[in-house]
Amino acid sequence: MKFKENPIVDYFSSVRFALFLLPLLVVGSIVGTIIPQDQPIGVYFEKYGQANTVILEILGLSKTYSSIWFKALLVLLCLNLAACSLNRIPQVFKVIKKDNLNADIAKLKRSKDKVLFSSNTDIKSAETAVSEVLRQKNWLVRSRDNGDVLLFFAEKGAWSRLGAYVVHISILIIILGALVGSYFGFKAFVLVPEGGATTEVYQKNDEQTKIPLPFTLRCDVFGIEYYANGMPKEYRSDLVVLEKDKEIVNKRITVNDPLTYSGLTFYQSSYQPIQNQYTVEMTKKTVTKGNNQARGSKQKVYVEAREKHAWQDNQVRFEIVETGEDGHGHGPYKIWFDDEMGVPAHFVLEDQKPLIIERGGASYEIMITQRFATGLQVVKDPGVWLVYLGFGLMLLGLYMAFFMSHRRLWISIQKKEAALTIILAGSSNKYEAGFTKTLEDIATGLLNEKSLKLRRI
Amino acid sequence: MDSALFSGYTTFIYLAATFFYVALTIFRIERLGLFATALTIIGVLANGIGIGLRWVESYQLGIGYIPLTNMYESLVFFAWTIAIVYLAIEHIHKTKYLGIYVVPFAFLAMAYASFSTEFSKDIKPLLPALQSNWLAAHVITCFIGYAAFTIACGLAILYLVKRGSGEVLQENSRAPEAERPSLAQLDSIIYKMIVFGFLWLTVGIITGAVWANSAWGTYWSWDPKETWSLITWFIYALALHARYTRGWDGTRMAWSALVGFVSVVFTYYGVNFILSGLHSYGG
Repeated sequence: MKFKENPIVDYFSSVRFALFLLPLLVVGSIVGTIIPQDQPIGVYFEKYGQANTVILEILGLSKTYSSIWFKALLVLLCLNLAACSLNRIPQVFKVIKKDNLNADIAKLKRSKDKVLFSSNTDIKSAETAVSEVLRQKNWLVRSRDNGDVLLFFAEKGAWSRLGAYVVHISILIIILGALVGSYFGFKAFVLVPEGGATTEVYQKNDEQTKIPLPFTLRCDVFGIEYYANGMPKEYRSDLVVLEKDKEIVNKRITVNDPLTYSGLTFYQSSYQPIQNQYTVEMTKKTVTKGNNQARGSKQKVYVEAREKHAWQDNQVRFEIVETGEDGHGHGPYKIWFDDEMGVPAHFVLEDQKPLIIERGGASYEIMITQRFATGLQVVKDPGVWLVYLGFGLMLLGLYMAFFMSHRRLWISIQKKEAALTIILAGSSNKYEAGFTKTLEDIATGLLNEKSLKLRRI
Repeated sequence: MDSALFSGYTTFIYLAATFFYVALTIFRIERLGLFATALTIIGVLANGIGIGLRWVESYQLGIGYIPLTNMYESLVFFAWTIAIVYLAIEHIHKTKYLGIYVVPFAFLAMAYASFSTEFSKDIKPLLPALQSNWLAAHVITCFIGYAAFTIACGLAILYLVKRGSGEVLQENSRAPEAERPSLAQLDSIIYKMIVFGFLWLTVGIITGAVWANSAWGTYWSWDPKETWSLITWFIYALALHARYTRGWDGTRMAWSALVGFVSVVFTYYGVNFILSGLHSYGG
């Protein structure tokens, strides 16, 4: 494709225009980091005054990165990248695909990096020897007999010329991935109480919009683990995916380890203690005579404090009569306990610490935990693979552009009177100093090839 | 022997190395250069041992993690990277006259880490968000990039000093050892450092994005640290494109390296202490 006819289009597809856009993007991005983003309008009023806030809102500076002008800059950058690439890639392909066996011998003689030899062998054995030396040095060589001259050509890294364009296209792919994500995906949030389940989630920044899930998500347990110094060590939720009441997936998620199912990913995002609700787990162990093995039955219930609860055929009744503060806000708990075997009694338990109550023929292991709801960030992003593809391509492109070069070398063998004149010449589009060494190395290889009987001239 | 002690040693070794590089530049006695290089190598070893010990100490405290998680640890790693990359340059270009403009940065980073009271030096357990295999990849790649940009900045200062004293950029010129490198060589090293840094910064931003996506489900949220890393990326991209298409070399490239470095410092330091956001735990 060619845009050269129109000077305006020409400008918009030029690197010059990119050099104009990038500083604007820099300034725009800086503004967005200085002015607090996405705050309620009152915050701006307080900070900048009424008049300034109006200006701020008109310019969209409270939501800089989603403002019209910032998006416009990004769109222009994309168009510029696309046009620039479309303009130049065909030319680059021409260079890559060029028939280098057509090279002009006079030009080879004039090239900056060249070595001249003369030899007394015949052209046939020179041909074999040259091919062999280049093959040993890992150059894939082609040759053509142009009548009076036999020309060899070999190249490496021709495709590296596309490196810069691979990077540019990767940027377009990343932005395309972001667009796919924002149009066909969503970000949502849901609070699921322990022991509870949900079939819908709530659109982020718009809690009125419910998004139905194609399955049921249940949370069995939410837990926080603390370090000795009281800092949180781990937030985790045991999640279960159910379809038609059948458990399909069972996974414990943590902050850096989400659950993905059917295109949706659930991230551990926050939690909330549910006011006045507690998880009570109790195991009753009966010791049968002659058999010391304890047989237990475990049950888990969610209860409110200051209410009597019955357990297992009304044999056991209990009530959390007092709840305390343990530094994380939960426990210790004082419970009233009655199992018809003795006098009802009070016990004190710490949060998440099992307590064993011995009562005649049975023992009870009781554990009380604050009941939580786990806060899950729910993300559907069908564009993320494009973004990752873009990331990969960007790295590949940068590597090609910065660390690879297109190196070409020619060897011509020409019969002049009784002797052969051999020219070794080459060029590299980058790192010429390194290439001069490569060429020197090949020259030495040729000189060392005894059958060639070369002399450097 | 603990890591803090080694950090202290490292600071003074880099300072001593700096003195020798200064002395070399003033007196032009080759032996001074040998001392300077030797001290820098010892500094790198001490620095590395300090990092290793801190790693071990964190395991002894039962919270083991790679020591790259807060301002203090990152500064120590930053100094280490600067010194290592510098030694590589000194080895490749066979000149010791660049050290005076680079090694002080390693010293300053260590001194700031050792003596600042703005941030804690304690080994604290890792918050849940930081417990990820991406942590090491993200921090290491970013700081290799930062170190390369820092060196580019140091050499850019040298370039501007030499240029200011009347030297002229001539292509492929080579200078005698005492005046090495020539402006052309300096320009080439600055350019290579920017390219090197740009590549690593890109990997750093990408690993950060992938990590953010695996922890929060968003690979980009325009938080100030992310935005500033992108600003830095834009600035160097701009400099590179200007070089390729507008022939920006020499003085203009040197100024680009300085502007880019200001952006790096803001990305690294300014965002943590002036702005606030997701990376607030970095302080």
